[in-house]
Amino acid sequence: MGQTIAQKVLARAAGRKTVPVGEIVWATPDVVICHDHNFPRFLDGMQAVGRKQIAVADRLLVGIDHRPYSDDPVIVRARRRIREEVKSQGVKRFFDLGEHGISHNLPVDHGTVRPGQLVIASDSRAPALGATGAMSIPLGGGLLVVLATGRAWLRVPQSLRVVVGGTPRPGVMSRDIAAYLIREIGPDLGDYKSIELGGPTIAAMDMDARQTVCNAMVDIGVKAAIVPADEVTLAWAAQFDWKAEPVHADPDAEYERVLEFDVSALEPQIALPPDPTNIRPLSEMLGRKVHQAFVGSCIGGKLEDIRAAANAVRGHKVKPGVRLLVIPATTVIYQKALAEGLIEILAAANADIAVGACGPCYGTLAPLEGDEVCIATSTRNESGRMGSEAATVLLSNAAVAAASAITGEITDPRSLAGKAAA
Amino acid sequence: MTGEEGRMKGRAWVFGDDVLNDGGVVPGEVIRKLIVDPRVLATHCMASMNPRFPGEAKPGDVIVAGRRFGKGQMHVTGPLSIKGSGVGLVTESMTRGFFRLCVTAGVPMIPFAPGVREIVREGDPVEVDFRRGRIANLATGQVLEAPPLPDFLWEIIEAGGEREWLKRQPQETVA
Repeated sequence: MGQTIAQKVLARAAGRKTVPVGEIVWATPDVVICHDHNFPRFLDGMQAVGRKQIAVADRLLVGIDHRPYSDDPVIVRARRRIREEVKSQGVKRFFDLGEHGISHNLPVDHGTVRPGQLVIASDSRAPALGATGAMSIPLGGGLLVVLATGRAWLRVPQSLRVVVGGTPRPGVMSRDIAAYLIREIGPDLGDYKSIELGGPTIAAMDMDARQTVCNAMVDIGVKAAIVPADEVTLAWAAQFDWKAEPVHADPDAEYERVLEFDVSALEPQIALPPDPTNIRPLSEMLGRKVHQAFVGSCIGGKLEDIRAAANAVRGHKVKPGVRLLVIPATTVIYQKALAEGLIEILAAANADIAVGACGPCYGTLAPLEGDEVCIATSTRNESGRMGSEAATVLLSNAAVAAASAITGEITDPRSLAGKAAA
Repeated sequence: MTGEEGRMKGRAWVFGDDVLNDGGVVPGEVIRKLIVDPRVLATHCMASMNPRFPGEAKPGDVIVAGRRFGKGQMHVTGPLSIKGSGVGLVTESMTRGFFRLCVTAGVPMIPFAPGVREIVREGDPVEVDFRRGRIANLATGQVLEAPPLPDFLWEIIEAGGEREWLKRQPQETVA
């Protein structure tokens, strides 16, 4: 019987030749990822269980993304503790302010994860790193076991194969494709699965777009989403000082289902509360008033998103009384956006710019008040996500979010293009 | 922690499908406050779904819920609030993330009990045998059997969660 990518990755990490679906194995991860929100709590946990040395210090990446900017004394104390602890524990992959960024995006900038690796992270959005061909699994608070013992208990998941075809229409971004796919696959089928993504549309996607699609799969409950390594992956990997050793599924691997989709007729989408799968075509949502637009987060703060936002607002100004907040997900993405002239365009349009923070996606930096409405490229849109329980978060691609800040209402960016600034 | 031999006896608190973790089991505001004490978190548990829950739920009571319980972000805060309330959890289905967090926190549960809401109504007295996967409605006499957790996971939950379980592991054998 052939093995899926998930089975192969877990078998190697568990020191076995093969592992059957459904078995719980103890696996040794290749990379472990944590961030400032929970690393201090894991340090407390290590103390509580009487362990001094982090068992995976040589493989641990610690990012600062939830609260890079904070004067809260609790956060300030925790920050110092993180700095001291990574130094004394010998954690080399610590990205302090100035090099910081969202922990799901940092590894793509720095080549920290590789195709075929087992990546374990504390944060929910971990499957995003499947864009590199790795199997990246979120454990939440369960990461303590990994930090203490070097291993994780993991159930070998069933796999779905998702094949995407069709050339997206102009104005349709990876976020629209991702939103459509999660709506169509749904949480009943997606929950607990490893999803292997393929087909011509995925093959044509760059690493940014692949991260969007893998990241969105979190919202239907997947354990991992993987784009098997191909030429795009190898071209990305070539900039780093290691050699990619891709892992592919066997031709006779067993999938619970093979699902095929065609995205050639897809429009840009807007997701309404309470869930990213609750999507409507942009054309049905035009004209709805917004108070704030946010381009950022692990799923919507990549270079493709900053580029799309800049192109949408070029030559325009944010409407008075409306805020546009743009947060490149990492300092490296910020530097690239700066070099491309994107930050200049955004600043000229009166966008507010921060760097490498989860920001409103974690209810910080620019929380919503009362019944305000925000159109955002971020991950989720349940009540209270950006602060006020009464506020509304609508999710869209970056061009739509940025264009909506120019007019103060949900706007098709194609309708702004070519028009003189107001 | 459960009572004798992994059993609980108390009142059923019934909820629907798609109960969120952040924003359902506990409000998002509580997540950002970084509260970790289960007893403090218990004062917020399920409050957005039923404001009476934090004040009236007693240890031994059981949350009975529908499908895809615990959707959303993977914060352990929600499961810790359930643990702090001392209640058990029986759901028709549970998301992968929340299931994992309940093991981490040490919440006694039967995560996959399809049909449980057909035999249990809000306020019914119930007895749950977590080890055997058996839910009994003490008012009607109806009983539902569901797959129990593997012994290995039950060992972690019985210990009180991964933290307590780790304390019992000899360090030299697990590294």
